[in-house]
Amino acid sequence: MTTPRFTTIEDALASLPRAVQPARDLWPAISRELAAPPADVALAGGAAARDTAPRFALKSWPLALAASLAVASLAGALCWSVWRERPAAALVARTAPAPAPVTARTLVNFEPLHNAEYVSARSDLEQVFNERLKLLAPATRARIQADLETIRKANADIRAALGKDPASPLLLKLLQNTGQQEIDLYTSVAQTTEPMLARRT
Amino acid sequence: MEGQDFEALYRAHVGQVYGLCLRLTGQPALAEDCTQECFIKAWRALPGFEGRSQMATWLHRIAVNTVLGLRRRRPGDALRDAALLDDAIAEALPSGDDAPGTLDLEAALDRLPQGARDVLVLVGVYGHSHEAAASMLGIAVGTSKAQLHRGRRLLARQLGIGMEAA
Repeated sequence: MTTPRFTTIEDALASLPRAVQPARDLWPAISRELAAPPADVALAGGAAARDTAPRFALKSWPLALAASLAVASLAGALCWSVWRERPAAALVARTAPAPAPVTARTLVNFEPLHNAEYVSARSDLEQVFNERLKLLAPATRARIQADLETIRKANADIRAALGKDPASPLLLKLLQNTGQQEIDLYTSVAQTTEPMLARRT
Repeated sequence: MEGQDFEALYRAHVGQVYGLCLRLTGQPALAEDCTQECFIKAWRALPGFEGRSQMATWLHRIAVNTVLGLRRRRPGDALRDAALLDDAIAEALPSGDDAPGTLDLEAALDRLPQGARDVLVLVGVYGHSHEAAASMLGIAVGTSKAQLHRGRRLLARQLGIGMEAA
């Protein structure tokens, strides 16, 4: 097989089209993948992916990242504050029958507004949380409520950012994190107050 | 980067990324899989961009990384089908192009040993430096140069071009 029109290998290679369009449009499948929350948001291309490219302005990230950092820091402080409260037994009387012991939960917070199981589980847990909150001293209760408000504010900020960039894997991950942190807070308060309920029954 | 911006990025670069994947895998279906995976990886890696190279180079790096990963995961798919490759290239050629010559060249390129073909595609067709090609392929720069020389020699023999001219 010969191709006489080429006189050098360089000529031959230069004649090849660099761009070859695929037979079908790959974008629909790609966009579906991008819309789904990634199982792992680590750099999938490893060192190659980290290497380089034009820097992009991700307009919604600073707010979301700040919110996430605030939530992460308060979550640690919150757990400490809740556990410190345990010995302080100056509690108000129980106002409801003791529900079943609350176990730690991990709820997937993917599109929770459209996930009936999530909404139901969260509602149950929130009800327990609100009841148990009354067992705590007023100052602790106020602090936890303020922390919860911060988590919810962060969640709302991230949702707003997602409104502008709905396919952002990072924002979806942050949304999942804040949702889980809210659940963790409910669970932490409920678990921490279990001994208080036991002592009063 | 907004979703529509990323789609524009995809539209601008999909041809080169797919062409690279097609020449490295030799199979249109695998090339499509690698192209999709490449852009998904690129989207997820956007926060790690540092702006030290061109977008095309960065995408090529991810594409090569994806192809190498595919070869490791599915070594049985290393078998190449020159007829499928020819069909895919023929569809991409503008009408009036000297398709037989280009297809002969693509087929000749496809028949090269994998190591030589990888380097020839990256350096000869896509214009990357030996340093960049070696980094993408995970080989030494000297190996890249040796493979290029080997690839050029084998290609020249197939195309009937004298090495002195090559």
